[in-house]
Amino acid sequence: MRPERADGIVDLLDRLLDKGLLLNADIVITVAGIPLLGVSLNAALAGMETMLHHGMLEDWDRSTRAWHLSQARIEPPLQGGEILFSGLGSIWHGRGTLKTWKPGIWYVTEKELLLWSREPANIIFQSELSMIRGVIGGNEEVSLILDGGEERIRMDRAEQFCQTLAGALALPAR
Amino acid sequence: MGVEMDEGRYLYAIMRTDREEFLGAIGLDGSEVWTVPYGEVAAAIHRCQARPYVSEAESQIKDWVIEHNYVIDVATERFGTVLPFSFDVILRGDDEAVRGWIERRHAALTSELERLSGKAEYTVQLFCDESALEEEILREDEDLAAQKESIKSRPRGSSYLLQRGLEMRLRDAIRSRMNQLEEEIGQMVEDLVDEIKVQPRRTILPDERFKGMRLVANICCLLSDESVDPLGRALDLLNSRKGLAVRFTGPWAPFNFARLPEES
Repeated sequence: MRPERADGIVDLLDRLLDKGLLLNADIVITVAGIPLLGVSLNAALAGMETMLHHGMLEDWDRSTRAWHLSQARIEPPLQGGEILFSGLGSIWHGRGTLKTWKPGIWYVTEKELLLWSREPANIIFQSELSMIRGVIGGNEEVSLILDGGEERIRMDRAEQFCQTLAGALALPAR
Repeated sequence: MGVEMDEGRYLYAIMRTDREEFLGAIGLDGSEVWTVPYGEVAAAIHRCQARPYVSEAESQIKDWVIEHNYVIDVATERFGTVLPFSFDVILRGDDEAVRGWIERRHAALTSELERLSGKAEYTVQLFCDESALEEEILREDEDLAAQKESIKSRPRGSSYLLQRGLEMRLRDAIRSRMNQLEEEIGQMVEDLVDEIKVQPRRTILPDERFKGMRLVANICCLLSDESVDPLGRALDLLNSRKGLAVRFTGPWAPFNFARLPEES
């Protein structure tokens, strides 16, 4: 049999998004802030947290680590106080035209709850602990009860997150 | 200062040429692609801002990926095997920054181009039809076949647990048969090629032909032009076996095999 140059894009995505030369030193950044992988473009676009959640990154620890590193390099603008919890996660953004899970790193400190994204560097969600009325843990996601309403959030180690946050709020975790 | 600081060069590939050349308006979004040489080594670039290409639209990213690869194809046609860059790699600075980048690794890039010269990357994927494997296993394993027969003759309700047990044994047998096949084709390919990289088994199927089949082996290999036919003939043997199908694609630029020296 003769090799064929398949017209399908799967082979291309596989190579161009995950393989090929990269720069380390002089580089700006690569690939949209999240590692777009050849696994499935849909999954890649759905964001890091979803991929981690579905175990799609098992074969991609290089990319995962790189992403993790890049996310961790810049310090989040925390207001001070001990960091009680930090971990990859996301928040449901259901307003406006683009409904999606926005990924970042969750921080629970003695003062606040923060979801921080490094690239682009911004605060996706921030709340003083005093504004949080409760936290309800589920299998898939966590519900955050605020003065102004409810937020749907997700993270690795959700159980630990809920316990930590409930502890910080001096609330019983539900 | 803003403008100069923001200048960048989107990198497509490294190739062997000492000339500055216009390759056409063939880059991302129709950007003009140029070669920027230092010595006998050049980079194919387009001029851009020092910001990554980012989009939330899947179709946009696909378009960019296709354009990026097209530049690599054009460069390969023109200059022979190139060292391809991943999508969205941008060097901060102007053409001089590109030259400086090449200058600092000139020897390593030259020897890497030399090593890969006359070679290209190919992918070999082996798919199998699970039901054909199951038939084959039942033909060879009398014990399992007898168990399957005895279940048929029992009343429906009483055979449930036996049926589950049989299914599990069959599944184990299929899995180990698939591992055997992966090893077999890996060995076969390895004997014929310069370098091999076993890839994870993905669940995505590349096209309709392999619908309903399982990916058993996913192998990337680096081949000299003269090894393509011998590998093709060896793959024919596997492809003709019942329940198996081989997908053989290439040539691709050596995305999986081009290496840069470690950067400090």
